[in-house]
Amino acid sequence: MANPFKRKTRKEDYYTASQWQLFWSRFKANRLAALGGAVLSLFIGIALFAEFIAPYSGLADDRNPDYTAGPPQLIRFCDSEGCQLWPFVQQMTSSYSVIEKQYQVEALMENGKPIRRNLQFFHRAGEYKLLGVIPSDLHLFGVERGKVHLFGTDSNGLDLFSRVMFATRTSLTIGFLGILISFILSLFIGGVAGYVGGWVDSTIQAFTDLVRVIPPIPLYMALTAMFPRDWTNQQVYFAMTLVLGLVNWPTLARRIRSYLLASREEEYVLAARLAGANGWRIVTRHLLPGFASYIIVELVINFPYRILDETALSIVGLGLRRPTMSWGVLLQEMTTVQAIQLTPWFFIPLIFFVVAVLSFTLLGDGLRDAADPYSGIQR
Amino acid sequence: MASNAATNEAFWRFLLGRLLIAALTLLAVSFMIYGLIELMPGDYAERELFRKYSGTGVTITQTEIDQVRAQLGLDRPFLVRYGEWLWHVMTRFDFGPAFRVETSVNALIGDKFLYTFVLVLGAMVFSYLIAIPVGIWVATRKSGWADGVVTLISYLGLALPNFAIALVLLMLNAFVFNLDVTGLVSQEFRGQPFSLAKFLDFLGHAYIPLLVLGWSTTAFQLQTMRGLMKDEMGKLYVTAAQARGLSGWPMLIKYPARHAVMPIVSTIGFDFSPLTNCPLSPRFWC
Amino acid sequence: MLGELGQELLLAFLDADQNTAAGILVCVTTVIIAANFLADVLMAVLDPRVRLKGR
Repeated sequence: MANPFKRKTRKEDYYTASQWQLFWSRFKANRLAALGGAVLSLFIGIALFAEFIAPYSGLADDRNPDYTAGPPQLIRFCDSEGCQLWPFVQQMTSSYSVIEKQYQVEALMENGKPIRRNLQFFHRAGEYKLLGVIPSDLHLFGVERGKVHLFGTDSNGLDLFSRVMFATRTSLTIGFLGILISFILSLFIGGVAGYVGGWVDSTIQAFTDLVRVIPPIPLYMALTAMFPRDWTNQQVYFAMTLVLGLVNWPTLARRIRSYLLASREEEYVLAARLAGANGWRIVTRHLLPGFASYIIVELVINFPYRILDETALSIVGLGLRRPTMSWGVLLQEMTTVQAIQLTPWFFIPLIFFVVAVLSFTLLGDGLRDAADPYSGIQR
Repeated sequence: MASNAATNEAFWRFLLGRLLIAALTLLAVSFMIYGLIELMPGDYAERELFRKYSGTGVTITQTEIDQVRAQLGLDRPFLVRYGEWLWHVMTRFDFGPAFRVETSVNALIGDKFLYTFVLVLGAMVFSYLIAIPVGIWVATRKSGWADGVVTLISYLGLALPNFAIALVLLMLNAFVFNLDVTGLVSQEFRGQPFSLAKFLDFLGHAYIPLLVLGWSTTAFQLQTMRGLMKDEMGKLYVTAAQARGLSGWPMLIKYPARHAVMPIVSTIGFDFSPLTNCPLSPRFWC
Repeated sequence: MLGELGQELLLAFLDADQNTAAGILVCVTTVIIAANFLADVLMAVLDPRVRLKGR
């Protein structure tokens, strides 16, 4: 039996819901955004547990000298000798032939049969510290003897699958830290401009205008070219986050400033004031929640751009460098015509990059629509 | 006429103000870049010697560095060098010597700037010509599939930035088309001075960079145009115009499209940033 | 090749070549400023409300 009061209760729910409940219900209705969120949590999972998911370290100590620039290995159930229920890969070799000017790939044979290497799940191999704390040697998958390369290997024989997993971590964290730094800067500068006003405001505005006229890429170039060549990879990494933050604060600072200026004059603030709310209550109950959602949305929308910046810079050799692994560093190996023709699987990091940017954008748009009280859901 | 004179005066004042701001901006930009490079560890003299002798085992002495520095005039204080450069730029439009290639900056960037500018401008015109009409058309349609396609394109425009689309095109070319795509002008024109034949040849090669350059802008503007146009279509003045018997493209262009296009027009400046973004895939066309 | 303007800029930065870097950027910024000005003029043509009030 349908409950005759259901419609009414729903309506009442709507009118009594808190801002966050409304936000959540609007967000859930947007399937694409939810999909973006789901894919992103997958990426975050990869970033957190890269060591567990990756079978190898992706560094020189785990290189496979017998399989340089090897194509991705298929997970098989069958080969020329028949089938089996457990998945396996074939043991392969790949080496550069100077005469043919290309890589020669062939399956290794034993007693006239191709060698099968059964996949093992929760395989024990190289040691690492999970989340930087828990020592472990457990990997999601691996093989007992030989090596497994699901995405193939690069020209040094390093496992591309592992490298992409670690690169995902680097690219996501660098984007996150970059956003965080620009957020702190812009909150401070925009906040000061918005609250103090007057000549401080106009000076800050003149400066942000100036910075905004210069295209961001030359600014990146100038700043990253300043890194000394002898810096360690950690130093370059943190300097990169700083650069990403330094170049990108003006837009956000301006938004925060205009939001502060505008929302002080909003009718709902006036309404709250007339209803007898004191300043503290207005700030915490009315300004901050709207402001917080606005800021979060702004940050999520900016996220793909930071990832993009890092990738683009690293591709030209201005950002991170080997042996650090990031999507840009991996794609740098992709930029020769030879690589494109002979080793198309070097493209795989590009797919990760595109999917990540896409899902961030979907999520960001969904969050923005959900945060806008005038969109979506019917009353 | 008094009012006309007043308008004129206001116009000149406005123009003068803008010129002043422009001059100040250029001054600040050049100073900032000069200063940023000054802050870098090591100067050009060190880099040149390092490049010259790297791998030869020769140790570079301080006297040598000082010699090169004095030769290039790099031993003078920062402000003197910047002042001199600025003075030459302002009086003779001379950007001074380009150290690395031993020619003047004017000679170094003159041609390249022209080509890049033509290309970026071309890509911009191209993307506006597509994005604005298509955006208007999609916004006035009732059914939803076109909306979906435009949204998808706009997402891809962000997810496939110019270096990514360049990589994808290179890949496609390598496996499907197999064209000579290594340069913007054919082999026989390289290093040749500017001529009409060279320019025509350049246009023949330009479609791929146009695509690489214009793709993101098109995708973004298409989405913007659609959204703005949708907003405008819902407004009362459009209904009023329709009630007066206006319809179709004439009505759209006369009323809502004029307003919808404004945010796009106001950001034209930003669409020129590929002038320097392009280097980001140096081996490709953009 | 087209990328060369940008690549020159990149090389200029890497080489600490102040003249070239500042020269290229002054040119590019000039174009952007001119385009912004053009945009304002176009806006004034399209919308009678924005006449001569600056931004």
